[in-house]
Amino acid sequence: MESYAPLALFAVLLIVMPTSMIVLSRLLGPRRETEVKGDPYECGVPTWMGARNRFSVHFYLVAILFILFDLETVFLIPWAIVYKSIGAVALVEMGFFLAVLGLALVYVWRRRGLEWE
Amino acid sequence: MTELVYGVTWEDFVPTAPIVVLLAAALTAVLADAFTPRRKHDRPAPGDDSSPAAFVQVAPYITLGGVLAAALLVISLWSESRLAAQHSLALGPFSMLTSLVVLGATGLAGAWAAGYLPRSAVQTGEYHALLLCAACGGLTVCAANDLITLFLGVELLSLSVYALVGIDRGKLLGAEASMKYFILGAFSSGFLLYGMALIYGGSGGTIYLSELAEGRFATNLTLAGGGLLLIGMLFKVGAVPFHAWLPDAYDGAPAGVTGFMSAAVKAAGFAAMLRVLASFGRAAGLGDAAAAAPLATLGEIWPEIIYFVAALSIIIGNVAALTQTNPRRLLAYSAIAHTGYALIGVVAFGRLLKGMQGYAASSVDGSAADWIGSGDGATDALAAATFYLVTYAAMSLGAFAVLVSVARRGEDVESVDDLAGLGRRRPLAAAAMTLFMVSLIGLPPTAGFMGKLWLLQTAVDAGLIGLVVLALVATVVSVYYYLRMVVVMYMAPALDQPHAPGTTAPSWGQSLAIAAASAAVLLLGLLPSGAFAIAREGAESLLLRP
Repeated sequence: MESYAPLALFAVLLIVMPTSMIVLSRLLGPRRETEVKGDPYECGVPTWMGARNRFSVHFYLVAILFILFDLETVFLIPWAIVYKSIGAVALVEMGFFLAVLGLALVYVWRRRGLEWE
Repeated sequence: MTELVYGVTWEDFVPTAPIVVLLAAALTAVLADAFTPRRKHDRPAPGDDSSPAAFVQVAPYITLGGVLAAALLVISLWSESRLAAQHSLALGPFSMLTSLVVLGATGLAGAWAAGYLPRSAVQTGEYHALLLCAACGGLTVCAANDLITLFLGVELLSLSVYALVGIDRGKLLGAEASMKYFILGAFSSGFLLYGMALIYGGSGGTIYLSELAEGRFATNLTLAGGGLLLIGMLFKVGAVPFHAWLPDAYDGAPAGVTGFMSAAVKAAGFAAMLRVLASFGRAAGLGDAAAAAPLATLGEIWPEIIYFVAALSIIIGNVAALTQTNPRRLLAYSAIAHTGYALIGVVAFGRLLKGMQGYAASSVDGSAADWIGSGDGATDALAAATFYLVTYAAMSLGAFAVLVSVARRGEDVESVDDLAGLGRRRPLAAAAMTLFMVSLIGLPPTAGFMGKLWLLQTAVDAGLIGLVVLALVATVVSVYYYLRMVVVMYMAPALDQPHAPGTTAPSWGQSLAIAAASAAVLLLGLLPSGAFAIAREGAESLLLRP
């Protein structure tokens, strides 16, 4: 049971900290309702459009491609660290992975997914 | 064998050949689509996704070729009962049979795409590639022995099918169905993953189902994990109360995709569920009684839970199907009902296993073979559930093959009443549809009859009289909505509309799909002994394997 003591402490902290933060800021914080405060997104620049605008579907494609190749890097970094201890097999396996990913890029390219018109 | 790294040899990669072949076929489909030259004037503008005509012609052959090669590899590499690929795959008759169901569904879905896709706005290359990726996932699920491999397979299968459901991008309903299916599916994957995490933690770090079965890892955490795992898998097979996604996904997807889902996703989900439950059962039966106590508790509980899941699935599936007018929605509720029937076999398995657990506890050195010898009933129940899945896949694929072949101008049949006059326009398709409906009811001489017969027999052996009576009453109720389709096809006056279903000739692939499904339904109904034997061997291997 003793091994659970830190866990119990953690649970107590987990409950006390956020509740006290919320309650205290509610009690102590000044509240001045202004128009700017009501904006859905504040960045210092005056808002000038509704939040529900349509924008080109190309953005999604670019975002997805970015995530794809970003993840590739995520996989490549740990691979590079252990590469020496694994050797040629690691090279083959990563080559296979990159080849499949490369084929996806070729597909998008051929289907003119990268053209912005 | 030379060791490559950390004990891995080239031999470990050999059993993955069927999966690799399917992946290669998927990549071929994608690349062939991208590199087929388009004629000048039909060079697509960005956003226009029609595939070149030349590719549309060859695409079904790529899928069929890949499936055929994978099926041959499965038969030659996966038939012997053993653990392979660093214990991450459990091969044997069970994996082979369920994999062949998945491959059959993929093959038929690939074949009936000929002449179906070009008429709808569906992207040919992506359809075939996603289909083959889903088959990769399905095969992985059917053979997975460790939880990570199982999860990978489930996700590969599910993600491909989410995309397939919404593949007809022009259709709002398809996008909605895809979204619903994706969100609920991701939620259920959460259950699955959390269950796996608890099992991993509770068992002191094993992810191998075959090791879990030894029982020495049983703790209360594994018990909770097993329960969560069960919920995740009941969701994937669409059992009540985890069925809410199913009618919308079946209805919103193109008929060609729905047919694939009804056979492949269900078969893979059941394969995973049966394997996990069998390993829990083995754990409770074979392990040290004290150490296995929590798993034994699970063994006590799950048949009782699934008892109600099965009963509810049968009732809700059949009652809701009564009022459906859309044939895909009707078959969706019928799929829920059939999940319920198959679950009867699972309950019977659990009940009979409980008897075996008593035996194992009483025998001094309850060796595996003795244990199996004492439990013919449980093996039979497991085999009956497996066999029922095979028969259901055949008849459901057949029904959807007919729906695909009569789709007009790429528009799926949206109402059963639209089938009026099909008996005269397309006598062969109508006859085949009648055969599939008769089989779905469960009348001889069809596969549905043999499946139900064996299933209910084992249920009687297990003393599940209540469920058997319910299944029989539900079968009588189901006659109404299955035969209504037949009545409309042959007896309702044909509507005078220019684009009625079935006015165009079916493509070679659609004829092939209908013929293959009809042959399977008749063969399983008249000469079931071969498939029976494999199902039984599979059940034995699930229970016996170390």
